[in-house]
Amino acid sequence: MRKIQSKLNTNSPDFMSNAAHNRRLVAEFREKQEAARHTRPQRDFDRLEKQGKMPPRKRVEMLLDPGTPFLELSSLAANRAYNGDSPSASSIVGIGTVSGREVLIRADDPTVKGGAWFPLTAKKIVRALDIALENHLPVIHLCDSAGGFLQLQSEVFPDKFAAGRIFRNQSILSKKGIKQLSIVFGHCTAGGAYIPGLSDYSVIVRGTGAVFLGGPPLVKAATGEEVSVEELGGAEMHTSVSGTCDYPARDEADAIRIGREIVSQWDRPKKWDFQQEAPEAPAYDSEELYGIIPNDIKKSFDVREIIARLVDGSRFHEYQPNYGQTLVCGFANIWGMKVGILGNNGVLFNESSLKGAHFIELCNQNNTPLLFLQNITGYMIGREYERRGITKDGAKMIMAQSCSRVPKFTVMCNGSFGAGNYGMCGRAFDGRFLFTWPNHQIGVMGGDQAANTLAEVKANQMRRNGETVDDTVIQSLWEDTRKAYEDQLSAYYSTSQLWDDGIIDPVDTRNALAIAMSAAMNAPLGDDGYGVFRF
Amino acid sequence: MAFRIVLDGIEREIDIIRRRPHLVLSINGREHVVQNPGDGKTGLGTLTIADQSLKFAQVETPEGVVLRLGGRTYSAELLAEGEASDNMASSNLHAPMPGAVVAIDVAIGDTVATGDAILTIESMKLQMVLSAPRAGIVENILVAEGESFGKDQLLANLADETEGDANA
Repeated sequence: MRKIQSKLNTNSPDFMSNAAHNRRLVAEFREKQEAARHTRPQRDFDRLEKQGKMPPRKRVEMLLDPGTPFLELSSLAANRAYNGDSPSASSIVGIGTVSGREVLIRADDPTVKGGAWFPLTAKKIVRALDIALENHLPVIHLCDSAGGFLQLQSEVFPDKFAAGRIFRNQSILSKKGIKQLSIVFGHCTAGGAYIPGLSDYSVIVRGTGAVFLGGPPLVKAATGEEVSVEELGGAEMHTSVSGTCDYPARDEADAIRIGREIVSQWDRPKKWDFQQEAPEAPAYDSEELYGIIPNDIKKSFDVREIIARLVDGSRFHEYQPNYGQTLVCGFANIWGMKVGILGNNGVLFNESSLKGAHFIELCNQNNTPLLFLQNITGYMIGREYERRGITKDGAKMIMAQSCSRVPKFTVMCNGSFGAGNYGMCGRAFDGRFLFTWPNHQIGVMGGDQAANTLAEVKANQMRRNGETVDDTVIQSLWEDTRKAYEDQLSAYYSTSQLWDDGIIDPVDTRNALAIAMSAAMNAPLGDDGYGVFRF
Repeated sequence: MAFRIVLDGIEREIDIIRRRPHLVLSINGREHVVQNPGDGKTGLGTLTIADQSLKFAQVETPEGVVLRLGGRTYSAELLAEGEASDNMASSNLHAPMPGAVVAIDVAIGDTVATGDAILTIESMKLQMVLSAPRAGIVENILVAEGESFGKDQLLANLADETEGDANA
């Protein structure tokens, strides 16, 4: 494969201004991430220490094999919700290596409201277990939660993808032979009790760990019975009387040691046979990504410049280089793993949609995972394009993509607007992983377009009603709409709502994708076949 | 038109000095005349270098080109390619898609180099810069700022900088 010849001028004013802009965005992202991970009132850390507990991130660190990477997912979930009261949605989720096995780790965060589950906590846990199901990753639960956040119970409890789904997913995981271990550090109350209850293995810490459907206050209120935590659901009782937990542990460090030993008993499932070469670093510096990503969402750039900084040796075998040029398709390797890349170089036309659909079929035929690099303002509109069937050509691309049997990965490199989001494997299309860059914006349309449309509609309405069109009213509607859109278009809103698996620094993309791809290879390919393509 | 290639593990600078009547290459400063170098399509042929006739066969691999020449096998990897020859590029700037002109970045009569910005256009919420396909002088700009255009419409064209300078 030929090396991509970069045309980037790293001394140009555009490069410098983009680089300054994006470094600022990344610094802001790092700051928010650091705060979500570590900034808590000192009294919360003091309380944990008094109880003989470690902070949750320390537990994760001790569980992982020393010196191995941990890909944390959705570190800024819930950053725009609950007045910031639920950093990282009160839970830590990520992929790492424990006793030599690739696992998904999910930890409650007792430094925030006793580890109570907010609605977005449940959404994050359900997503984590979906990842485990889709990629056949064993799960280690680090339990320490007071249960559902009662003030918001209607959003936590009843719906299909609410807390109940956690226990449904746990059951299906076990049925599929995907192992789960729970280490109970603190309380597992009510629904939370089913986490160890539905795990194949469980460890519980003496003195601090407890599992019960109703805690002592609830028992007292319901039946008048007075009972201590230890007696009701402590380590001694559950490991010797009820059999709800398997192994008692002296303290937290002992529990982690036992947990690591349990994992070391597990078999190592074979990964599916995919094409691999010796890994090679990209020929171009990934830091140059900062100078490529534009400082304005409207400005375009050549997605090949991005590809050149993600793939092995910057080598890219481009498919149909002269046809449908607004969608760049081709093969490359990431850390030695073969991947078929689709990247946007402008709006999707008929030809680019057909090329994309055909390339997706080639990747499915060739067992090659798909990587979508989204920077898309949509499919082309207008009379000529409708007459040529832009809708049915876009539908072909969506059909091929939706029905793909190979794993799919998406990186939101810049804009994601309109139906382009669908064709390019947006969140709804069951990609295995979706990562977002801090500059990303997403919406059915841009803020300006929405504001213009609504202002136009309002003005027409006033004219119809025989009113004089009040420019100040129109102007304030325009500004309000634009402001609301800008807030919701932001990558931070997107990641807050778990429309992705987390914001990442662009320079970390290659490594994040490699960990995600390696994890994805644990599961067999999906079903063959497509639906009816409209020709 | 200069290249850098790795030939049998050694990096060399190659410059094409002339193509006609014979290909003349400068390899690390030394000139070599090559006759009948083939059309680059079939990968087979007989070429003449230093009055010696040699059979050759070439094939492209992921690592570069493998060349069999006069009974010996060589491998070559292209490191960097110079700009494509200017006289191959079009003088006309056509609209790649329907849209509107955001900015005109040059004036008629300006001298531009390959890749210089000529027009900034916007289509479907996305701005893009249309740049000079070759070096030359801006002869015509056929649209105004804010003006809409259709796909493939001619937006601007370039004229040669100086006539008849074949060695440039």
